[in-house]
Amino acid sequence: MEKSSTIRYFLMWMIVTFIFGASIFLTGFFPINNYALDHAVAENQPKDLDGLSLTPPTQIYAQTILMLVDALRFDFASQSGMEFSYNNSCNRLKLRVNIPTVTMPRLKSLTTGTISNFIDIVLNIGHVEQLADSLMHRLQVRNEITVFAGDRTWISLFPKQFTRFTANSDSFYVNDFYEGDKNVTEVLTKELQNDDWMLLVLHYLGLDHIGHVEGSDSSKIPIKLKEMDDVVLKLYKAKHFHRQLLILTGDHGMRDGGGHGGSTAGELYVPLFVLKENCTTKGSSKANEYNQIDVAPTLAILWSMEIPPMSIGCLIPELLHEFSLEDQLFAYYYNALHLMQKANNKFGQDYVNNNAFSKWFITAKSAHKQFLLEKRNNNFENAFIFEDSKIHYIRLAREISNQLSDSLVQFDYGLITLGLALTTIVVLNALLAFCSATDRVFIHGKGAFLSLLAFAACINKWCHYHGYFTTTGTMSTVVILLAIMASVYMLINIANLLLRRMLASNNLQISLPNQIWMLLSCLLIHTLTLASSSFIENENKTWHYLGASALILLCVQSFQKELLSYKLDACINGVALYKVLLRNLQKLQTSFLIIGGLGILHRLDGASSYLTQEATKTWLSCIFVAGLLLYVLCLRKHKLVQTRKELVIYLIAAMLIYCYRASKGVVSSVFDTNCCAKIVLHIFWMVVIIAACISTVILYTKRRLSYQIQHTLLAGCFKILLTLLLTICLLLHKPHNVCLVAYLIYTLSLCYELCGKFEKNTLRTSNYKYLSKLLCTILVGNMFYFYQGNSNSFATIDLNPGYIGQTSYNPIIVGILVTLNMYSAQFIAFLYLITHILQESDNNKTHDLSANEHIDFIIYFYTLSIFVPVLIYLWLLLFFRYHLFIYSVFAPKALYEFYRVIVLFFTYLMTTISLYIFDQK
Amino acid sequence: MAPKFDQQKTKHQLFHLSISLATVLICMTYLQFQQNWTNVGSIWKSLVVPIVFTSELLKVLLARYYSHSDDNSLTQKQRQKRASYFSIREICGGLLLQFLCTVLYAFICIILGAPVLQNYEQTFVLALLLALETTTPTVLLLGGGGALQVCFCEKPDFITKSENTALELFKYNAIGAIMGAWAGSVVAPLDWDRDWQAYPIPNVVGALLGCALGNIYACSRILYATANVFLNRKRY
Repeated sequence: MEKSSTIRYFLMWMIVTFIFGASIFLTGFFPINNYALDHAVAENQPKDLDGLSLTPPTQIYAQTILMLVDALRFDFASQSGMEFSYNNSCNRLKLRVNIPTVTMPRLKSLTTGTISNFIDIVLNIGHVEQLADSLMHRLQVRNEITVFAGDRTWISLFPKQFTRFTANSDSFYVNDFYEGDKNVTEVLTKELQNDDWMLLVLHYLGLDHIGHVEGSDSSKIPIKLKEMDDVVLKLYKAKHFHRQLLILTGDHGMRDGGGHGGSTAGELYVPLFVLKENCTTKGSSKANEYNQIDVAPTLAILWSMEIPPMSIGCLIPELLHEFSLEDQLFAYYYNALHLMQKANNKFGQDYVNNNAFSKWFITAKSAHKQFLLEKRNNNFENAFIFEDSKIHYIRLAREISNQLSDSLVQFDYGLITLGLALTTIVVLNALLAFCSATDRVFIHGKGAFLSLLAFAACINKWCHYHGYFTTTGTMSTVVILLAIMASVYMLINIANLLLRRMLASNNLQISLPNQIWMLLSCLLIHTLTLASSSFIENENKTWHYLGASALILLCVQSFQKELLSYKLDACINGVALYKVLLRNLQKLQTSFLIIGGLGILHRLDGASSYLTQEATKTWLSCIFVAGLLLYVLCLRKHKLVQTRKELVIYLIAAMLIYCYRASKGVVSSVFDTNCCAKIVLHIFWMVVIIAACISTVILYTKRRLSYQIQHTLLAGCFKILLTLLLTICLLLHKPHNVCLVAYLIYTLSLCYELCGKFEKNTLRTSNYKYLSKLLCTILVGNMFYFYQGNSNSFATIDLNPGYIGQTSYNPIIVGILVTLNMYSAQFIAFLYLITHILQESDNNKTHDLSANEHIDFIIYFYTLSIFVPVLIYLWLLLFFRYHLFIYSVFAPKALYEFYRVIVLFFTYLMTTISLYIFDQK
Repeated sequence: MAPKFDQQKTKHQLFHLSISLATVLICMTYLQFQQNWTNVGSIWKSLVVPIVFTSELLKVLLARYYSHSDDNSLTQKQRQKRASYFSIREICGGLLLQFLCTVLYAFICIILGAPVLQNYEQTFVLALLLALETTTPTVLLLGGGGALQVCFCEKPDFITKSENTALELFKYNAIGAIMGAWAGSVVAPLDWDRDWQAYPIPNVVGALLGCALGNIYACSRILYATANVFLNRKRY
């Protein structure tokens, strides 16, 4: 008893520390961007500069054409590639884009002037319209006519903002090289006649598609570039070009192999060509480098609008030359003011005041003022003062912009390293302690902890000194100190364990039966598949494949074993052989039924959209009723209830659940019960409570009647707990998922039966007795978790169960209910395993105390089976941080895995607390 | 008895293995030159099943040929068994067993996620191929009852030496085929958009390659053992 409690405490600390380490890792990986979340109201254009009144510049070009060529990398737009554009552009600039180099975030940068970071992409998943404010929104407010043609992504970003739009039917169909672009050009021809618009956006996809399919060296690329060049020529020759501004750019570049999404030079640099009539600077050879986020504020100034509130870009001076000097200074001043405010919000007043750029700001402002005074009083434009002011404005804007964008996307490698070190050390420690049966905790005493603290403080100071950690503030210092302390402590522990290992020098010899190796390799295969984005997307298939294969193999093996026990050598007679075979096959029919059922359940999620239609209501009702009946049968068959009375009560509960769903109109009902959903729910909860009370009472009376050992009581209590959990899950599940609850119990009991056959003789007293059962439980639990319709994208989180019986939003209750519904399979499976172990040790009646040891072993192994994949996944995440699908696939999965550990913590608490409570009696 | 190159058993084994490997090679070449991957899953357009069937038949004939030589060492029981190979009951039993096996494999395929309604032909071809690789040679060699006994019981005493050799090698073939077909599914979820990722193709090819791997393993074991004996003898 004493020993088991130390193990449990040790495990709890391990889990807590692991969660701690993983949260540090995730904080470092997804730096939270506070100020992108506050949707600041755009400040209006400044009216005055320290008392001098200012007038905003007016729009020069009545019409703007933004021509985006997807994946137009910098060296494509060269003299040879796009000859006309190259020779006739007034400015040829080089833009640096930010990661991820995929279309959607890039379009956001182009229109809002900000960089999207990991966490807001994760937080925004599932939202179609992601932008709160952008250039397009502003144009819409101003009632300008905007026209769009091309990639569908624009429409999902700006569903209502464009006056007219023509989007490609499918932007991800990469085999279309020409058709989509032809359509865009057709729209262009039409719009050139139309001539009522202010902004025309053209997004050509063909180049990107060629790159994806044929690579960057394809012979089709020069042809495509020529086609694009012809479009530019056409625009240039158009009737109204004298009042038009044409901007040609790419959203992102192209890797040498042809794809994009990473961070190589080819992907990161795109050209920006500006074409207009009678420009003075035609053909200047030098290409200045700017950032893609600079385009948004510059366009805002060109269109004489407010700079988008989230913009952190600078202005591109080359584009402002058409303005008068006064107007130019106004633009620079406005953008500088905007950035200063952003910096104030982000870094705080003190930091800004102490930094060099605030001095530049003052210098620039005073020069600006001087220029204005001279202009207004003497009507003389002093070019020297203008340059002085402009340079200071540009310099300060560049500086602030760099600092802001650095603070947005940068991974905090200090925190990542710390978190990863801590989690790795925890897992190593747990693994080592698992292998050695000796004591697990070695250092005690205040002195040791104080010295640890001092040591940690030293490390912390050193790391800050070298700039590995960049955090400030008391909270983060405490967190980092604690993390360092924990890692050092465990490191010492590991060293200690290793030393003892070496001193003891008895080699660890694990001889496990075949089926355990097989099940373990299933888990291993699953862990390996986490390295591929496709496998993460299809994780449900992986689990089903592995789980079903394991079950079939177990089934075949047990069948063979059964036949072997007949000693058929004696009878050569074929007929007798066939008879025995058939008899055994008949015995196997339940296993066949259950395994066949798994094949159906695997397709359940796909069928759910079909089932929930109005036309198939009858079918859904049938399935629902079948699920509820299966549940009652399962309670009876697996002796989860003791008497008929309880069974009747649970039957009533099941009927109430049906009534509830019927009153919600999901399944068909005889009566019109539209109004009484709440009453039904109240009755349901009452019935459940009554059932629990009655079960407890019956358990105790039985105990008094006959002398029984302690575990019967414990097993009984766990059975009651399990039944309650099952009943609540029935209520929370969607109607077509209800059959999963009972089916899970059937599958698990089949697994235990099959595993039990192998363990009859071997492993009788060993710790590994329940290992194969545990492995089966993990496999089956995960299979059912995915049967339920869960996946690794946030889109499939079912929020409905959170609101069952709720009238208002209570985050805690909603969280609990949603978690309970999502992870019900894992909770039930684990609880059933514990119940099974208690029951088994009851039936054997030989080992009195060993059930506790077995349970400790099971919990320990279960913890490890979750720790190890999560740890490996965190390492993978570090390596894949520039992967194309990091946002769409890997990042959500990371948060799922993190939540998995938290759920493990809940499971652990639930089990140990109930063991603790029920053991007392 | 130490294995030697000129021994009858070793000769039999090596012939047997070369037939298996040649089959896989022929199948792969055929698939390569046929160009159209979609044909792999259809019964009439693909020659994989007939090729494999012919090779299994050849292997059985090989075992038969070699078993002529140990005719004189047969026991009464073995003679009796041999006589009953071609009885109607055995043939019917064998056919039934084949059919059941195919159905069982198809059932497992469907449970593991094969499409049910639209791809039944492909599933059937895959199941047939697996049955051909696993049960057919044993059934052809020993008849239905004998095959069952071999599969599910301890080794019966009516098996002759050459038959035993062949059975050992069939085992590698069968395990390789099943593992290969199972592992072939690994490419199914990947998003590469290749035409050979369609359902039965990776599994069929996986089964063939698995066979090849199993045979290569067996081959290397035999060669290693023989070479070991050969070298050791030379030294003394």
